[in-house]
Amino acid sequence: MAVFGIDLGTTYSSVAYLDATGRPTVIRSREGDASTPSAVYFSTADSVVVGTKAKDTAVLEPDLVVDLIKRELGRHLTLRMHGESFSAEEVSALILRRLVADAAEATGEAVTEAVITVPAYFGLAERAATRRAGELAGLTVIDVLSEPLAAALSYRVGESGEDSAILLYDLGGGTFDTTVVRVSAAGLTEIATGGDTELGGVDFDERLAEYVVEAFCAEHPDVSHPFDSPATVQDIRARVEEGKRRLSEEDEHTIRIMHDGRVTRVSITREEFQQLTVDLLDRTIEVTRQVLAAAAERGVDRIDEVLLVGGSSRMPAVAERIVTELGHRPRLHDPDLAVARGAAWYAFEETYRRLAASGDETAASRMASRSGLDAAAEERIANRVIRRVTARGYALTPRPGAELADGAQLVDVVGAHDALPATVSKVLASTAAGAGQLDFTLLEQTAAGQPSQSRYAPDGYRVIGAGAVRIPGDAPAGHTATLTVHLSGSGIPTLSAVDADGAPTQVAMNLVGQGTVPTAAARERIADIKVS
Amino acid sequence: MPDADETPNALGPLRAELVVIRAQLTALSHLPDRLAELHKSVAREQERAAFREEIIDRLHSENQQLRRSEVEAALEPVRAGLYRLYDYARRESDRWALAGKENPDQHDPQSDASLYAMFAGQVGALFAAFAEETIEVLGRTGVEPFDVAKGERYDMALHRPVDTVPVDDPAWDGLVVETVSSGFVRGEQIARRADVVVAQLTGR
Repeated sequence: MAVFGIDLGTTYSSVAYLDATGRPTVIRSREGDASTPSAVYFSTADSVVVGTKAKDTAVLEPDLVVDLIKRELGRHLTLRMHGESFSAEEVSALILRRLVADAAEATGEAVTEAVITVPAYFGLAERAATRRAGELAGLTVIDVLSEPLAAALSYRVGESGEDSAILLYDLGGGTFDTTVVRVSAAGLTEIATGGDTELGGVDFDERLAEYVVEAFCAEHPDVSHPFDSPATVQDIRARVEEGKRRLSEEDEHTIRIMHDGRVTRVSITREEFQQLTVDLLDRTIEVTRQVLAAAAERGVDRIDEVLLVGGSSRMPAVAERIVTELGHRPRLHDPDLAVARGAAWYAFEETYRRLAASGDETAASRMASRSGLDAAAEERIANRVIRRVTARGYALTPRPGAELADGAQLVDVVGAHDALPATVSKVLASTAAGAGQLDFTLLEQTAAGQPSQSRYAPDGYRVIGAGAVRIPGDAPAGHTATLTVHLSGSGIPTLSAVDADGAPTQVAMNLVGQGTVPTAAARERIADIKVS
Repeated sequence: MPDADETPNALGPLRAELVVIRAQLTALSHLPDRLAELHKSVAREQERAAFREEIIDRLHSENQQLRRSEVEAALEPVRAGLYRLYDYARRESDRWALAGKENPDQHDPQSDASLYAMFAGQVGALFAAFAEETIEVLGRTGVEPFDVAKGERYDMALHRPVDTVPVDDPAWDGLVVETVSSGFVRGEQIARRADVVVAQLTGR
């Protein structure tokens, strides 16, 4: 049985698995593409279209097409489509269902287990929402893995067994991320991460489009503006994308713009293109410097290798600039699909490790041999550990009717960049008799001093969950219970509590954006929707 | 009868032989374990070998398929360029043909307006010929164009919407009002959807 790795992207998503030769293989969509636009068109409340056709339909039905939904995971969002409500998790689940259907069709196997990747900066609520999206899509989510770690795995870092520090520079279509990862024989550890969600390859395309259109208008001021014609706009978009690609391979390229019976030939050198977009590249370098400084604060002050991820990192200016800034010639290999491939590797390895850990060594061995791995590779996989850290810090605060045992207003659960998994226990006490429960809020750190949007969170925090610990209804004021928060290796929280006498007691928490409908019922609802 | 004094000497070699036999028996007692290990190892190697054979069969079959689709893949960028050339030629043909119908002076075939209309008509015809030639070349690569009639219902499998126009007549809602670029089919497959402008009811 194959296990799959899914790169659930903001604009495009991909799915890969380890094929019979033990190599990660990206599955082509039914349109024949290596990735599928992460767009959903609700043709009715119980029938949706996912992918290219959905993206195109935004021209006709902008209110019925949802894109960039990944940005809403772990946040309060309810979309109304044909009178029905959909959360970000549910929309993401529909995208996953399409990917899973394509994978099942391509491999001839049922797709039931998968690893789903998330950006390194995703916090606890976003990761939990991603996992739930997978579950709503009918998947058993093996793990939720950070994209930089997946990309690093696709480059097979750490195979030599030597300790090193690597920088992943990920310039995608719409976002930029960069992460420092420490690599050792024991595994991979994220050290520091940062990014710009408003910067990507599309910004470079727009600069080039503006440049060629300006040249056209200067030469033909007496005809209509090229952007007034849908046909010309489509054509310019295609020409500019091709031009950017060609300028990665050639020193000079000529783009022809034909509109309203007029033609303009715009010759542009690679150097001129780099000048046009230098400020965009500067922004990525500035973020990279900040991440390197954060890594240095955590003891990693030397980078041994730089890996490029994301299609836009093919631009030669990226590699040249990294050489200038860091003195390293970066590695570039299949940057568009590195995350999906790495997720497939991880899905395979993690499943192998779990089988071996459960004592089913025969199944683990068979899995390895059916993927062409020898005994040495098996041993390497068995011993590899992926060590994660929290992207942000988390804290607990009591709600009215409850207080922390020491009277503090807020107590840290874990700090930013603390190692995962982590388990922390805190004592809560009731402030009045007969409360029946101790209410609390889970907070996530935002930028220092950033004004809070909620009365339950101080500045510098946002509310990501609210919950309650049950205590006896006749308990007097001051009755205590101990709340334990366990964050899994992938940053997913689970809670437990014990009463003052040490007996387990009920605890419940809702994360922001997570529906109150039980997973099984929500899954059934998503399963009833036709996805094409 | 052997001499009593000779018995110990006679038994000496036998004892030595017995020690050897005992050692051999001890070694043989590990044999089942060794055999089991060997069996396990051979079984695993057999499984891997069988699986390798399966992979070779699969790779062979995929290789055959790839060879067949190699030509198709090589043609794709050529087709993309030809589609674009066809779009330009047809767009210009339509534009010049329209210009040729505008403002001809019916009373004076030698007037500037009439001469321009005649010239525009000829240029339009020339571009139309370029478009036809391009279609023929595309036809040799296995794709055929399909046109979309004005008033045809929008179908996302066949059409790609690039713009909308507002209409007051509900009967036109969701119908194609203009084809910006023709679509193409390869056999029963849609090779390229047609770019269309779709009517939308005002205030919907």
